[in-house]
Amino acid sequence: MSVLRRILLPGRRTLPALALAVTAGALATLAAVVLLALSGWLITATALAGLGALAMLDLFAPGAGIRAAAVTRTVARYLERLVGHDATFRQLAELRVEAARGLLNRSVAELERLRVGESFSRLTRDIDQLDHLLPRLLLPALSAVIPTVLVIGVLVVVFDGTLATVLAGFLLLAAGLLALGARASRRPGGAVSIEATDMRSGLVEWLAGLAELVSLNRADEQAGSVLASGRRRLAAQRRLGRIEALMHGGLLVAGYLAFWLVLWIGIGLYEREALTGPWMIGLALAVLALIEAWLPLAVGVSFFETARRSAGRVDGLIDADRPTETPVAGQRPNDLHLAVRDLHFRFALHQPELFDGLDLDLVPGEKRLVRGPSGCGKSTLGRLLGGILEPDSGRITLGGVALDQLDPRELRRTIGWMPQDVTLFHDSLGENLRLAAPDADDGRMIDVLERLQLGAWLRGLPDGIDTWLGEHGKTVSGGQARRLSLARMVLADYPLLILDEPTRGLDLATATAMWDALADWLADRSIIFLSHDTGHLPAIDRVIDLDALARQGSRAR
Amino acid sequence: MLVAQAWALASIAAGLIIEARPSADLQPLLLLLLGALLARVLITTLRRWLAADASVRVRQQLRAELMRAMTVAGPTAFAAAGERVPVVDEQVETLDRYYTGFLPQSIAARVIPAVVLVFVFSNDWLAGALLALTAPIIPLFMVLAGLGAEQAAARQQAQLTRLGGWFLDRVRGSATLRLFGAEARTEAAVKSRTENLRQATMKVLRIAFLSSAVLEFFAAVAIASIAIYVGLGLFGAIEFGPAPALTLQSGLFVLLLAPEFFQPLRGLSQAWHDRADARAGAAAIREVLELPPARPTADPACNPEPGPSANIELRQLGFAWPGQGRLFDDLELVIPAGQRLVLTGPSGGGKSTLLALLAGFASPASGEIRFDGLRFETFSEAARAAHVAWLGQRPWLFEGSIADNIALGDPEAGRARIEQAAERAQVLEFARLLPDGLDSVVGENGVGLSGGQAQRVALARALLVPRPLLLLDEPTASLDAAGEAEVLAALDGVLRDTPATVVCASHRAGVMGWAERVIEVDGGRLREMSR
Repeated sequence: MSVLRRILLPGRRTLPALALAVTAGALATLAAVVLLALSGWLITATALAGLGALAMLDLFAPGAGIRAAAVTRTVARYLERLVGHDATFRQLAELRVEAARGLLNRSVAELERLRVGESFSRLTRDIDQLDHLLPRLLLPALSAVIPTVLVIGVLVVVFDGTLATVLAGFLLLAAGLLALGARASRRPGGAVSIEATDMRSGLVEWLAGLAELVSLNRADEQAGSVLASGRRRLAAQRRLGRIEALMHGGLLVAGYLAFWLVLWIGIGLYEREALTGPWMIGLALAVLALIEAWLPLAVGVSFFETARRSAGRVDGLIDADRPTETPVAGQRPNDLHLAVRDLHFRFALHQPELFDGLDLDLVPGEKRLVRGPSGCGKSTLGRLLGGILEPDSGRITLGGVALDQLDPRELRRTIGWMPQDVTLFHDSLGENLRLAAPDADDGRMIDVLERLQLGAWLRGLPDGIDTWLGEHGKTVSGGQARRLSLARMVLADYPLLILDEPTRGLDLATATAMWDALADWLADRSIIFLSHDTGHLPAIDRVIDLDALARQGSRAR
Repeated sequence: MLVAQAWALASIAAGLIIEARPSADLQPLLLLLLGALLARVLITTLRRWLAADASVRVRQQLRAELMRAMTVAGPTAFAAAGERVPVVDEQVETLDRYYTGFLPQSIAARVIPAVVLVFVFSNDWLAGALLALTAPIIPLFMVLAGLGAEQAAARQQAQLTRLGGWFLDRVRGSATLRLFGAEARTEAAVKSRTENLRQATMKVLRIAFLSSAVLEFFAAVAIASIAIYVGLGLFGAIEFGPAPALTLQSGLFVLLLAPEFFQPLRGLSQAWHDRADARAGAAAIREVLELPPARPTADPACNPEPGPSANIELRQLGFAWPGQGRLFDDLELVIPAGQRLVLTGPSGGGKSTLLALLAGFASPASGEIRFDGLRFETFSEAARAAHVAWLGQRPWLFEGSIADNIALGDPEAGRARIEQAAERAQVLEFARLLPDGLDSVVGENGVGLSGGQAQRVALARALLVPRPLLLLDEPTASLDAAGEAEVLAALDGVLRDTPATVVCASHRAGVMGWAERVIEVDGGRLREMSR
């Protein structure tokens, strides 16, 4: 079910809260109507009684009614707002968790290509946009329509059909006005939605590139394009604001006209003695109170289109139709023999094949280096072996089972793939490492960091293992980040690893000391190193020159 | 208008019911009523219209100022980009409700009740006194509620900001989360964090709703007592004060005005949490606007023409990152014009910081940097950019074609110069294999290119305009020996045309071999390496 429908047509769990909010809202409006009508009635009646025109007047029942209506209005309005908002924020919290789940349900390859700014907007701003739907549109609509219809009913039954017709006319006019307003806000509402998303994505990108932009003295200019989206967004918001003001004004005109007509007709009825003086005043005031309930709808309606678009984008993130990544038969590997047979792969149809019948074996405990110049496909091979990419044809098997037939959790527990790009989170150093091994204690993490020659660095940190790493790990240099990535690999205890340029940015002395300290960890693990040089690596059993091996076919072409 | 409206309605009622005048006599009054109603609509609509316009202007201007402040503060001043996004986006938006909601309401709340009170008093001082008595309770209560609301709103906004940063970070690292099988853990964290935000939000709202409920209650009680008082007065049950003088006209007039007395105050209380939001937002906005600039603004700024290469002097240079120990103390270094200097040394030893100082991303705490004898701090922004080219550790590419990404270095560069730069930085080598060559589109952060390829595009961009000082932060770290040699050859080619001074941080033997001078930077100290 789409997000919009889910919010506007709540399920069984939110229904009681919503029903309560609607009842309270309608009750609050009715109480306001009764309060004003009864007051008008009372004053007129007492004035007449004071003149002796009315013989008997019971002051206490209407007085009590007024007081009761006053209290009811207050309590009911409070309840409506509280319950309505609470239900909304509960829905949104659930939605956000679901959106996060939807995001993480994508494959690693998809996530690597994710448009970060856009997904971020969907997860945050778009979901926030939905908070208006219930408390500003649905609830006010119901607390305006229900009492209006009820009052019309009372007018028909107890009073006069003409008066009811006037109010029914108002109802239709108001509904028509709001429908017109909704139509008019569709375009600016859509524009607000689009430009807000553009502005935010642009902003995320601008902030990410600020260093280079400042160095090129282009930060202001690039900010200009973000601000241009912002300006278009504001222009559309201004149009929406004007439409809202006009809707508000239109509702008031319609309402005041209805009030005036009720008064005018009431005077006629009074003169024909079809209506008493007190009721003539009371009914006119009742209409006045009823109009108030319609006014908040102007805001709600002008928001609708923007919220609808946001809901659509959140739908895209959750993507309920996407199958969860569980293969039909989640098999387990028989052993740790990694085998590649007749591997073919190319990025796109019109591009040459990167691998043209590649064969490769990694027996348990073996260390292999896959070597080749930049761009020859080392990283791609790493992705294929890590089960991130799928080959066009050929087989990659682990213990006799094709990678795509393995239980994905089993696959990820068995094969550790360390990509070239390191992702560090805006979190403590310890939490960043624990990502790979949730159970690792501080002692173990410190030990691994020592082995990776980061001991001195760690001791220099203000809070040791609990030191906060800036966003993107900005306080960490490239070489350190790479070793933190390796530390995750060590901590996670994978039996089979694919390490893509693990020593990039390291000097020879540090690299040698590091591999020496990791000797016992290296001992019985199967590892494929992807690198362009041998010097910085531990002892290698076999070296594969990828350039010579894999590209023969494409070279011949 | 509302007074005229109330008066007309009351007069109609009195004329009709008490004086029993024929309705034809009341036509002018009925028309007056209609006129007053319509005039009121006009005023309300106009007010909304104008408030929306004012709010739009303020927000646009603030966004521009915020982005300017972040530019001036420089790339190193940043905590987290994710936390800056909501400042420019949502927190500026909170000002909208301040301008369209709170501000007009607060003016209305000051004027309208006073006017209403004057009219009610002139009609019946007892009813006026009744209103006047309830009135001070309202602002008093609002101040009390407002204090709590503001704290709660500030907490909620802070949480919102943190959550924003957290989410952006996780979205960016989503592939890594998936890789380590951390989906369930992340989902649980999302759940607890959103739940905390929900509770904080509800806390703010609960205060807001409760305060407006109390207000509404007072208003309702006041109106109800006035209705009953007027009723009893008209009935003749109250003998003292002005009550016996009440007529239906004056009584109804007072009753109709009573809600109008409270209406703006109620509106104000509903807008009160907009004010709390806006104030919390404004605090976050102010924090960014007040970020210290990366370089002090020079007055008068000096605008030297860049020469082909610069002679760089660092004199008694001292520097420390905020919250960290002193990194450099009395640092002395002279880089002769045209020299190729490589900084090496352990990670975190200060290489990147030295480059940041030379790039103008940070300014020295003490001492000075001189370009050809001129103080670098006095350079205008344009002069700084014209003198220094910088290429970072992580190349940043925006979504667009390779050519567009290179052209960012100089918008006036023609195709020929872009191709030349691409050739020198070995971009053409791989771009040729792409279906659209240099016009192939790369994704956000260079998706679709390998790390080395992205770095070469960034290199081409940095070299598009010759500048007298070229700063390179590990430019060949992701390239193999052959690729490195090619880039170094390309650098040689560019430097042959314009012999810029080069300062490059690197560990690579190839780069050190290419350099004319190598300095080890360790713990903030420099050591010349014999070659």
